[in-house]
Amino acid sequence: MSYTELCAEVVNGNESKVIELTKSLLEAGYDPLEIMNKGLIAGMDIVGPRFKNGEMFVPEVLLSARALHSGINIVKEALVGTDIPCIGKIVLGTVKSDLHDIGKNLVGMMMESAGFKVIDLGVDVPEETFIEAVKEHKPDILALSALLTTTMPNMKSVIDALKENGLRDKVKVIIGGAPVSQNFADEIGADGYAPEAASAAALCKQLIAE
Amino acid sequence: MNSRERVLCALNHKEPDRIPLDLGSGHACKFTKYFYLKLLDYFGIKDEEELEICHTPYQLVYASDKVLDLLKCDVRNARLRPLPKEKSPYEKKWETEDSYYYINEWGTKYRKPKDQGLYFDLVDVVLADAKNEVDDEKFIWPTPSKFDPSSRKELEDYRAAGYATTISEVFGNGFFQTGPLVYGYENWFMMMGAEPERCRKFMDKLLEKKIEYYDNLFEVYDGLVDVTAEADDFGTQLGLMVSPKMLREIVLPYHKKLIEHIKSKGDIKMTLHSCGSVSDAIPDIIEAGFDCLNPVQISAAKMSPEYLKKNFGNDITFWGGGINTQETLCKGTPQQVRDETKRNIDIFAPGGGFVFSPVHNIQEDVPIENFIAMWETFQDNCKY
Ligand code: B12
Repeated sequence: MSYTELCAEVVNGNESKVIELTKSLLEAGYDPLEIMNKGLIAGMDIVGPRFKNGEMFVPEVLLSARALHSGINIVKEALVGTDIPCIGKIVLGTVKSDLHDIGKNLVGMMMESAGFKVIDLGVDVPEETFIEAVKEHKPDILALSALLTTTMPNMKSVIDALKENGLRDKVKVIIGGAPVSQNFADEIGADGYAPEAASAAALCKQLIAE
Repeated sequence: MNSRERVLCALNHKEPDRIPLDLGSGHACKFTKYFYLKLLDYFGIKDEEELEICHTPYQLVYASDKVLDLLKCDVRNARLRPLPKEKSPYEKKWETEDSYYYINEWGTKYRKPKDQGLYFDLVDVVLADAKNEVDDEKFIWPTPSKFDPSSRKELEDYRAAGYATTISEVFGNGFFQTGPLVYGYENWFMMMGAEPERCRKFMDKLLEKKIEYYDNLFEVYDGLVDVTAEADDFGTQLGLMVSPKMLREIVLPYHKKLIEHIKSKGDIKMTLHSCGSVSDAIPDIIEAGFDCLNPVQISAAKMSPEYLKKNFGNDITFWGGGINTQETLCKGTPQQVRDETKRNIDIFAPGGGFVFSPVHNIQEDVPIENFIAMWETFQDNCKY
């Protein structure tokens, strides 16, 4: 029983093993935060790059993320009362008229395991909903996903709506999805773009550090 | 050469008199309603052409013969006429103040906002919370339709007029992508990874149903279908969604069995519709018995026309890939459209094995000038 073992089971996506090991580590008196960072999240830190390099695919990443979540939930119970460190807040969603969410959800998972609190608004999200969420949650980053050329323009509409509401300088905007590019991000005045989930999380860390 | 001879010649990897053209008929070669209206307007065709939707979620139409003839298309899609059957208990249709809703026979719930929604979005599935095989059993499978025998005449007429014929409506999706209609995408993916036996059970049943579906089709169209399609998106912009191993071991064996059955019914060519970067799976797709690949998403990674033609051109027909629909066709200038169309033709055409079509259904964001620029360039360069 060790962090390495726990980390390996996260990579394997073995949910029941992760639950079992997390519980045993807690019972044996290991520090909950260390279990989270050195065991659970360390596993996702391996998964991200493997996915990026095409060594792991969507099903395996989802299984790892599910295992990670179950582990984290157990740790959280042990941590009630203590503040779980959070390096920043992100509001995430797929823009209006677009239902693609497999990629957006992976991005959200990687952001969470990088230490962000993620508020996921789902798919087909109208501008107004993004604006309300920014007002309500005051996130550091607003992350928009679009998979269709017909819905990419709605990313610009969100940025315009932020400006109209005097919110543009309150939040960094990052965008992504199959047809999206750095060029498009520059064109619509977004603060960042990433081609896949692991780089998306890295991008957020970088933006927070700025 | 007539259209049918032209298409079959290309599919047999020989050079016909000119490259066959499919706009509006094959699996992802269709027009969305919004683009089709632009096209009707361009040709000055008034409302007399009733708009018939063939796929509700994506708002795709059956293009009329008049339009297809004006575009000199070689392929015709059968307009399926399902006979009335007992309604699935899931099926339902309603509207609220701001949205249209419906649930189809797979129990998949769709929603389209009334203001400017372009598509119906998949919003719910019936087995979202299924945990095990006991829960799986609760699914009420749809019964494949039987078809109106009188619709045989349509394909007889197409055959007599010399067109190549296709059926591009799929029962559900392919073996990989039907599960998501019932379980949801993420649940299905995780089942594929952790509980492949549950997936196999589902796919066993799906195979049975698909065989029944094709048998029903051939009961009406026997001997008249040149090409049919199954649809399973394996790719993302950057690579495969699932490992080649998983496709090879779990998914493609089902396709293989189905194809064997279909081909036992006649000389029918099979197309696989699969979006995204799928080149890493093409050898296995060929091995499963597919003759054609569509939509050939040349804008995804490892999918350049050069790479595809060089590595797989002798063994599979590229039905699509004529022009990039993620950039050039919707956002380029007409000149960029011309240049790319010409370039792709030069690469894909030699030796046959190519049916010209854009990468995907024409969405409403495509300017009519770009579509016409593509079409004219095709006409100027399609002769062998
Ligand atoms: C799966 C899929 C579907 C599924 C979606 C299921 C779901 N719940 O998401 C279904 C079948 C329902 C579907 C429907 C449609 N689709 Co679709 N679909 C795809 C497909 C094959 C894969 C997308 C995917 O899930 N990839 C897997 C994930 C892991 O990758 P990803 O989404 O790219 O996300 C990664 C990165 O992009 C990035 N990322 C994503 N979001 C964000 C956000 C931020 C902030 C950042 C930093 C990064 C980031 O990180 C992610 C993880 O690494 C693509 C093909 C392609 N080239 O992408 C077509 C594709 C996107 N679809 C397309 C089309 C046309 C449609 C339809 C209109 C139907 C049609 N066939 O006519 C409908 C639209 C419905 C609607 N309202 O949106 C076209 C779009 C063409 C265009 N003009 O833009 C594509 C490109 C296919 C093609 N060959 O042309 N589709």
